[in-house]
Amino acid sequence: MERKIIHVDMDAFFAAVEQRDNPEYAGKPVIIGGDPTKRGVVSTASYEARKYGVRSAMPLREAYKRCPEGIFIPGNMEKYKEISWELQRIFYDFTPIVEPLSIDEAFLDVTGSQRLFGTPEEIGRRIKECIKEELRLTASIGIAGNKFLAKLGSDLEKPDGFVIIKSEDVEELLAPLPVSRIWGVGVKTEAYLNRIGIKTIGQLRAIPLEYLEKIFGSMGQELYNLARGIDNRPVQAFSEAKSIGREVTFEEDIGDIEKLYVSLLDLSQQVGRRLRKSEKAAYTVTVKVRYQGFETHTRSKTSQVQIDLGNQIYEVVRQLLDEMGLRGRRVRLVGVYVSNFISASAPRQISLLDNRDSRRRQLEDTMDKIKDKFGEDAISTANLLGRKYTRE
Amino acid sequence: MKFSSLKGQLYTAIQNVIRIVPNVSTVPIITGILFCVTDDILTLTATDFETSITSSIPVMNSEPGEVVLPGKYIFDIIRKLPDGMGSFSIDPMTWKCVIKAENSKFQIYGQPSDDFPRNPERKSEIVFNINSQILSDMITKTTFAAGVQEKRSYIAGVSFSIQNNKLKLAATDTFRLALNTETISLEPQDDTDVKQTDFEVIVPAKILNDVAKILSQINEEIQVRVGDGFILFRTSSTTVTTRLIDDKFLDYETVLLADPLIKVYTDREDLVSAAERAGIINRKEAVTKLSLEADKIILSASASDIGELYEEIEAKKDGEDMEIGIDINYLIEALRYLDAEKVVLGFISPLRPIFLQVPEEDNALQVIMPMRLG
Repeated sequence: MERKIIHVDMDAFFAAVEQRDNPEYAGKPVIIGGDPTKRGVVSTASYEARKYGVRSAMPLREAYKRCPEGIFIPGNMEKYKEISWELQRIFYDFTPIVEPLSIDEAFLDVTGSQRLFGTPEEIGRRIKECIKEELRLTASIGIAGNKFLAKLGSDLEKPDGFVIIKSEDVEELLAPLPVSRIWGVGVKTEAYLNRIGIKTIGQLRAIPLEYLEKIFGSMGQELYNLARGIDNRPVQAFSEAKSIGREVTFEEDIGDIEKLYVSLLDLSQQVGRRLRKSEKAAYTVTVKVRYQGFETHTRSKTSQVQIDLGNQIYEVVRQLLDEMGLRGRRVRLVGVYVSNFISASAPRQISLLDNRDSRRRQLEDTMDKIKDKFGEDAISTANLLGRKYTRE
Repeated sequence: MKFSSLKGQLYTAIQNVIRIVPNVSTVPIITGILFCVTDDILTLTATDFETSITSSIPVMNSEPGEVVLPGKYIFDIIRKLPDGMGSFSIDPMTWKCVIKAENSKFQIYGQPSDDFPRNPERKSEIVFNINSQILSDMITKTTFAAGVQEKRSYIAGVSFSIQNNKLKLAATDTFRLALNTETISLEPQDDTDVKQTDFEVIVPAKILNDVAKILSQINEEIQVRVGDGFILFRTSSTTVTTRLIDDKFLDYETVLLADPLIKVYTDREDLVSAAERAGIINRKEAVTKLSLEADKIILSASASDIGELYEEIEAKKDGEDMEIGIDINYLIEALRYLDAEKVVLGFISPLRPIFLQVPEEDNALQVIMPMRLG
C-alpha cells in the first residue's frame, strides 16, 4: 500500500506568532532577529517584510537597509517552543508517527489513520483548521506518497497553502524545478550538478543510474530515485512519546468552573501517575479547553522545576485556566498534558517549598503503591470521590 | 511658565524620573513628564500607574505653571544641553516650550497637564528613617534573588518587614533566598494615622532596582512611609511611590530555624573563581558537586557532551564530611552579594538548605537550596 505522508510547515512561524500576540503588528513587516544596529541575522521575516526583499539568514543590517520601517524583535524562543509543543499535540491527535523536522515543521505518516480520520486530504484539512482555531496561526500543507514530495508540496503555495501531489503528476511537476528543490541535495551537490550542466530535476532524470553512481557513489542511487519522485525514507517518529496527556469529554457541557477544577485535578493526578510510571519528570504543562461549539484553546507553561506530582501539575493547570477564564462559556472538553521530559533520576533542584512538596510526594507515592496493588480505583482523594466520569 | 536651571541639576532630576516613563502607552499622556514650577522650585513627575516618581530642584527667574513634555525627547534634549545655565519658557496657549542654552535653541511641543494622573497624598501607617546608602545596599543585596516570571506574586517582590526594631528585606525565587537586616527604630509621630506597628509588605523588585540607584547617588537620611497598598521612599529631592504586591510572602523564618551542623570557612574570592570555572560546565540539569573535606572544598562538575571540572579550595571545616549538589549559578550570585573577604557556609544535610554568611556578622544571609544528585 502506498504511504500517505503529510508535511506541515508553519508560515513565517516566529513572525506570525508575534503578529498574533501583538495585534498592532498585523499587516506590518515584522522581522525576528534582534537589534538591526547590531550584528546578527534575520531568523524569520513576516510575509509583509519579505515584500521588501528581507529573507531568513540575511544580516540584520541589510534587512534594515531594505526595510527601515520594519518592526525588529529579538524573538522569544521559550514562547515559540511552547507553541511548538501545542502544535505537536495537534499532530499526535491524528497519528502517532510524527517526525518533527524543526520547531515549526513536521512529517506525519497518516497511512494508518485513514480509517479513523478519513482520507489524507480530510486529515490535512482538519490539521490546518485545528492550527488555525487553536493556535490562531496558518500552516502550509503538502500531502504525497513520500516525504520528499510532501515537503515539496507544502512549499508550492506558501503561505496558507494546501497541495496534494498525485503520483501521476510527479514527473511533469518535477521536471522544470531546479535540483536544489530536492530535499537532500545540499549546496555542495547542487554546485557540482550545476557545474556539470545539470540545473533541473528533468535534466538529472536523464542521467543513467550507472553514471550517477560513478560520480556520487552510494548517494547516486538516492539521487536517481529522488529525480523520479521516489523516496523511501520513513517518517521517523520518536520512539518515546513527546507528551503525556489525558482529556475528557463531558456528557453535558459544563459552565461551573468549580466542577472543571475537580475534573482537572483528577486528570492532573492521572497524568502525574503516568509520568511517574514512565520514570520521567516534565517541565511543561499544557491545558486544553474546548467550548460549546468546538472553539478550542490551549495554554502552556514551562516551569523552572521538574514536575512529576499530580498536585504540582494541577497547580499550573489551575493557574492557566484562571488566566484563560471561561467568560460565561460552557465547556465540552478539557485536557491536561505534560511535555519537555527529563529522566526522573536526573538531578533535581530542591525548592524552599519542598517541605510541602515532600509531604505531597509521600502521599502520591503511597497512593501509587496502593493502585499498583489493588487497581486504579482502589484509592482516591476525598474531593474526587464519586467522580468516575472523567475516566476514559 | 518659565524657569532657568543648571543643566547638571536638571539632568540629575530627569534621570531619576525617566526610569519609569513608558515608551508607549494606551494612555499617551504618561509617556510625558509633568513639569511644575512654584516658588522657584521645579518638580518633575512621571508615572506608569504602578509607580510614580517626583524629583524637585531649585530654579531661577521662574514664573509658575505646569506643562507635560514628551518624556524621551525632553530627556535627550536635557542630556545633550551644553553645560551651564539653560532657560525654559512655555507658551500657555500653544504649549510650545522654548529651551535656550548657550548658542542652542530647541522648540518642543508639550501638552496641558490637566489629564496627567496625580498621586493623592495618602495616609501612612508606618514611618521610619534610614540612611540612603544603607538602604540602597540592602536593596541591591536582596533584590537579585527575586524571580522574574510571575508579576503579581511574592516571587517578583521583596518583603519589607519590621519586627522588634529590625528592618528585614527578603527576596526569593523559591530556590534561593536573600535576607538583609538592619536595626531601626519606629519613632512615635505626631500624625495620628501613623500606628508604628510591626508589619510586612511586598514591594515589586523591579522598581526597587531603580530606588537603589536613586538612593546610591546621595548620602542622607531618607524617609520610608507605608500605607494601605503603597510604599513611599522620600529623599530631600525625590519621592518614589509604588503599589505593593498583594500576596503572602514565603514563610522564611521557618527555613532559618534549622541549625547548620557543618560549617566551612573559606576565602570568598577563591570560591567565586572556582565556582565561575565550574559554571562553564554547569548548565540546565548539570549539577556541581561540592565535597566538604577536612581542610578543603572540592568542586566537581561534568557534562557528558562538554567536559569536566575538578577544583580544590582551601577551607576550614567544623563538622562531618559531606557531599552536596548545587546549581553553581546560585552559589556565584549569593557570593557576589556577600561583600567580605571571608565567608562561612553552613550545611545541614544534602537535601537541606545551605546558608552563606560573613563570619561574625549576622545582618546579611544568603540561602540556596541544593540539587539532589542524580
